[in-house]
Amino acid sequence: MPVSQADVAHLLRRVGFGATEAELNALSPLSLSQVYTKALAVRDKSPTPPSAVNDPALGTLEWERINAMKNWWTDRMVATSAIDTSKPSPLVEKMALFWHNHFATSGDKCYNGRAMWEQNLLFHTQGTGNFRTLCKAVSIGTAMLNYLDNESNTKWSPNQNFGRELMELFMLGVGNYTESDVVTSAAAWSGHGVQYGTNWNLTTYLFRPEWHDTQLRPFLGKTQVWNGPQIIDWILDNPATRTIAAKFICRKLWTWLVHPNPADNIVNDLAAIFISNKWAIMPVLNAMFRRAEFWSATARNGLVRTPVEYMVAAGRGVGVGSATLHPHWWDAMGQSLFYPPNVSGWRPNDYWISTSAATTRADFAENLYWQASNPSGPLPNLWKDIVNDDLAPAQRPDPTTVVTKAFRRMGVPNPAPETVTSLVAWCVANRHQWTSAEPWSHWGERAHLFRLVLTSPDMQMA
Amino acid sequence: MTMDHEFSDAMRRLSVADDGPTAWSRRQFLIRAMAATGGLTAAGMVGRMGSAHAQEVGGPPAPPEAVNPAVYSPATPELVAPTELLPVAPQAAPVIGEAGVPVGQLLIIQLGGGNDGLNTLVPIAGSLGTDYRAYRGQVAITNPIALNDPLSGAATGFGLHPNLPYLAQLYAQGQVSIVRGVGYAGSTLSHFDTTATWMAGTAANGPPNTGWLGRWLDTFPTPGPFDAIQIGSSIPLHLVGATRKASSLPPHEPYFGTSADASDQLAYRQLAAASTTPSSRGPLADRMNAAFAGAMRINSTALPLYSQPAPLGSNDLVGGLRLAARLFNANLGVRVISAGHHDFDQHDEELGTHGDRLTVLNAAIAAFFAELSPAQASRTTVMTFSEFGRKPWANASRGTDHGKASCLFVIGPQAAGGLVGDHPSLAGLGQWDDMEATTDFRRVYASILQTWLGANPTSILGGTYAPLPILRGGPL
Repeated sequence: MPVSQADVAHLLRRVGFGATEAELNALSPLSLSQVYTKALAVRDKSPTPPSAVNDPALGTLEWERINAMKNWWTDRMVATSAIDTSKPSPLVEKMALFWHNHFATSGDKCYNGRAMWEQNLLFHTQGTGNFRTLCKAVSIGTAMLNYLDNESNTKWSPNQNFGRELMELFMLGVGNYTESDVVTSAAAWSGHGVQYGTNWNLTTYLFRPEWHDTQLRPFLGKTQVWNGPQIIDWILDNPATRTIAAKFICRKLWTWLVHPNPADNIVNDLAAIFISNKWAIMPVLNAMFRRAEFWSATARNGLVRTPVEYMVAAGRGVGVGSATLHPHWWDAMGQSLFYPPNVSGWRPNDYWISTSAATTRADFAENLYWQASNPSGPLPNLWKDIVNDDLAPAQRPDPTTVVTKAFRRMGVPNPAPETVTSLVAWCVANRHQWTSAEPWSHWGERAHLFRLVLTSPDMQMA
Repeated sequence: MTMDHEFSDAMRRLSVADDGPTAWSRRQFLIRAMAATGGLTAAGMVGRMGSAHAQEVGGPPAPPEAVNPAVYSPATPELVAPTELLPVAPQAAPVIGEAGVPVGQLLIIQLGGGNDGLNTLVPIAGSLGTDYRAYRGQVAITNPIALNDPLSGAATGFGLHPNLPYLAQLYAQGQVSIVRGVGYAGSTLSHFDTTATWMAGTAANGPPNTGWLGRWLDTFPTPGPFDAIQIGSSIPLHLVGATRKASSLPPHEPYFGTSADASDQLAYRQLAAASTTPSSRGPLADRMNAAFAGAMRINSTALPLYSQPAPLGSNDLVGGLRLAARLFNANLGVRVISAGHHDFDQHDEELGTHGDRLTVLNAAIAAFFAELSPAQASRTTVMTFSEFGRKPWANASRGTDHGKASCLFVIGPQAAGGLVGDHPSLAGLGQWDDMEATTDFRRVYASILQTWLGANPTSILGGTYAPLPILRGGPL
């Protein structure tokens, strides 16, 4: 039984960054099970970095490395495909973004392109892999060791920053441990630090046993001499905390990928899957996207696109990458990749609804049209095939067709009826298209249609 | 080790930065693209991208267009016709807050990058002055403007940087309080951590998700789009609350919602009209729609302020603060305006660049008070802040590295005037030692919240901080 294009679009918005027209056409004739298989396929988990990351000519211009990574990641997200296996997997990129937000580390403090790259690579290789492996690897990555100050955590002068956030933000949530557990966690991680190379931007993980605390200490019900990774193991193995950890992660996955405030039974079911699969992430995702609640109105209307999701969806609809999108627009929109605002990451969903966000999204949309469609841009005739103004007036598509085609192009096969009515009213008010042989103005009517589509609520919704 | 880099890059994150990058990049696109096609001047294009017929590449520059009230129908409820707005509106009485007391207007200026407090308020007299000149060597300010106590006329033993003559003049009139040794215990010396701490302004531990003024905005019983405005394209943490955040206005003319071109107007009206119909995509979609309509309303309402009574003159802090004064003058109900002035992270060759930054600050504050109508002045207070000061010792590159305590200004007719708080001692400090803070920065916030904004500082700051004598009283 075929799947409606609206359902394909919903699934691909959540699994990745929205459907292209080609994906809508290719997937909707398939069965739902076939659509799931293609949409949730995982591949290309060990990408090669952009050349700037290891370019010695850049010296210590770390912001240039990170900018290159930003462009590189933008292009990967734009290129994702559920139907072309030569392209990056939507789910791998979406989960890399999820974990970048979960284990938020900023290039502002960790001003080191290679360290940020190594962390991002982990989000790709293990983002759909195993949570235990991911959590341990991130913890001893030099980006995190620097960002949360564990590099200066010693038995003589403990720094609790990482030891605390590991439990509060990465694994358990506040209220599920005591201050004494924080003391032990910090002691356990003491000595896990950074070795700086000939240049300060060349860093490797180094454990210094002489800096490491070796006292017997209690932690979540067990007393021993603790070493950092054992803290992660015990949280995930301890019968008293593993369910809390599993629910903490599953609740966050649902909140970011399906809708906020999931019912307890959803979280409990997913947590049980997480634990019984020994912290493998894919079984949870497979179950999550297949639950009936994923197809509910609450889920379909439950998330606003983050700036990254919005810009990538726009790039996919138009068919342009970072050179035209200019990811620095994210800075203005408030979500600059590799620079989360603090260790708790970006805030989800309705945080992104504001007048200033609206202005920057509208500015971005207008700039994108201009960038893509000016005569020297990549797509000088952008949307000419949608308005078909090369045809005689009588043969041109009617306003409803034009508006519907425009939304489909942007991955929205089912715009809200009010949105269509509103844009059709605008088309009629403009009249040119159907009463005059004059073509649409490239910079006027066609640009406005583009902007109206990109500023419509349908484009803001994930 | 401390990783240093350009603060302009740094600020972009915490707050989602400042106006600069986007505005300029946008301009650069236009310049580059137009140069390629031999078309319009960048100046003619900026702010007018939506102007349909001006966009024909190779066509004539778009002239500045007056808003046509006939097109911009006041009957469209979501849009305010800009012509309805008087640049300077009379105001009979100050706004009365929840607590039954008048609520003042606050302009807050962030000096990003870590302003060198010692080269801003310069120690002259005694061992403090001797130590300062010894530690700083070539980076010492040798010709400060000496400050005398505004009441007694006695020498204070301190001077202002020579590029701050306007502030020195206001100081002599008793309109500037300078808080010395301001900061907090346990600073990490990281731009990121300390800026977050200052903006959050809370006693609580944990990641800073809200800012002190944002939490104040959360308490407004009837929120309005003009309650708080950031001059720039994105909202810094101090203006982000749990349920609300400030609006923003760019330092150059906004264009989304402001073009008078008939075709643009049709598109705007369509967007605004759409926001009045509930979407079958649910309440989030409705709120998003309302945000677009609200943005057009803010931009179009403020548009005349960019050109009347005269152009802002610049995109930097001077133009930004002129705009701020006009926003207060226009009686839109603005309680707080925030602006950023960055690049204070002067690790090398500090004297020239730091002096230049202070020159702009001085000019901007002068422009602000010159523009502010007399009726508004006694209801307006200006404050500055910076995430940290610099090391007392100069480094080998004739700059200064990240330090701890710094100073800040509270300026306006209702400022108490004078030096507030103790200056940290410099005695016996080694090359890598810091001036520790003598006054917790949250005491400044507590005073502003309580005396100026009519708010409850304890609930907003999550702790009790003794107020400082920085204001002589509330707004008049």
